[in-house]
Amino acid sequence: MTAVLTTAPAIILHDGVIHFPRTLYDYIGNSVDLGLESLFTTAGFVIPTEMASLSMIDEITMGATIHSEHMRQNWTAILITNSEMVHLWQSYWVQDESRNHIMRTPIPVGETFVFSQDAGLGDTVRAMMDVYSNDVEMALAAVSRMKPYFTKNYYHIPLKKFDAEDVRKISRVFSRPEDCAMNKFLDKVISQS
Amino acid sequence: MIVMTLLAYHKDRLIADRRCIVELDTNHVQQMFNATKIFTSKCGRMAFGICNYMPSPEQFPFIEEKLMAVVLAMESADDYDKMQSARDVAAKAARDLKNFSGGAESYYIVMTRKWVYRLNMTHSTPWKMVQAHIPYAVGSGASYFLAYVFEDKLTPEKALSATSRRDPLVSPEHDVIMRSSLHPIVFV
Repeated sequence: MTAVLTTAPAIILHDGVIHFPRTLYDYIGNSVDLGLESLFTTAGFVIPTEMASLSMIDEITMGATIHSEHMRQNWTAILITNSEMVHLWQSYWVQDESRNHIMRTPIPVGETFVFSQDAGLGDTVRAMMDVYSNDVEMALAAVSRMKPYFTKNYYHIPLKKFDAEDVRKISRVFSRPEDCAMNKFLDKVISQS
Repeated sequence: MIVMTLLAYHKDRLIADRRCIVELDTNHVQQMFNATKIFTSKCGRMAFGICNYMPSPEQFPFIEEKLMAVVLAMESADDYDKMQSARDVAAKAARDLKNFSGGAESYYIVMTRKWVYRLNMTHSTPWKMVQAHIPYAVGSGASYFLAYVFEDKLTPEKALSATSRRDPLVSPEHDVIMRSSLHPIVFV
């Protein structure tokens, strides 16, 4: 069982590879640790389902729900993957109703999909991928030139090569249990994997 | 509610697609496929585009008059007092246009030979100058369009076509008004 927590301006699925940011920049250009939730509230879990039981997925979904309620704000993305399909789960905090909604979108692994809390940013990334003939790294570099707060430091992880040890390394860097409730679930998931 | 899907200024031209989505009620929308969004004033000295509001032909003289009043005040302002006065004219025009459109959160881009302005009813300071060398776009396809023209990768026309392939609300059919086609405003 593996999971990755990230806050992200955009998560990109393209050609069987998931791209998600290593660092963020704040509006004055400082490099920001991904564990900080205050700047961007998108969070992503990438979970290969071959290694996960349904109950664990439920538990992580619940973790995302608690996280969303804890933060009292917006989008959380959980990408549950197997070799054929990515399931994007979005937990959306509805201020007026003081509760969150969960939406689920299945995406075939071969599809290109850009997810961002900021819809305009998702469109920008997608357009840059068109301009640079689907070269994701070139596209992300162009977006970072266009929007200085957008990081070009991304992990590019082929889903087939995504294993527990890779995830543990990333998680050790970014997991900050004091930051949010979701990280407690992340720790539990990692400890049981 | 009316959603106009793309209105942009770049490379000395106003450009807009022709798609318009009219929300009839909560369950029904109507698409219009030949909705022109950019216009030249009768005097030929000003061009303007409207996003998120579709005026009737009878409403055009009022809109043109309000926009022209702002343009004349702005472009004739050559000292501090005139600039203050121009700001008052602009603020009043923004209020009048918003009331006129029933409170619609509409956007305008106004272009003359000298300057380009944007009027954004959702901003606390609705009128602003647009820097002529920086692309500006509003509407649902704006983020696509701005990415396509970034670093001059695509011309505005090709960027609009590319946007229409990504955003189904944006039509490939479009209108363009070149800045060079406008007459200069001369103060005597």
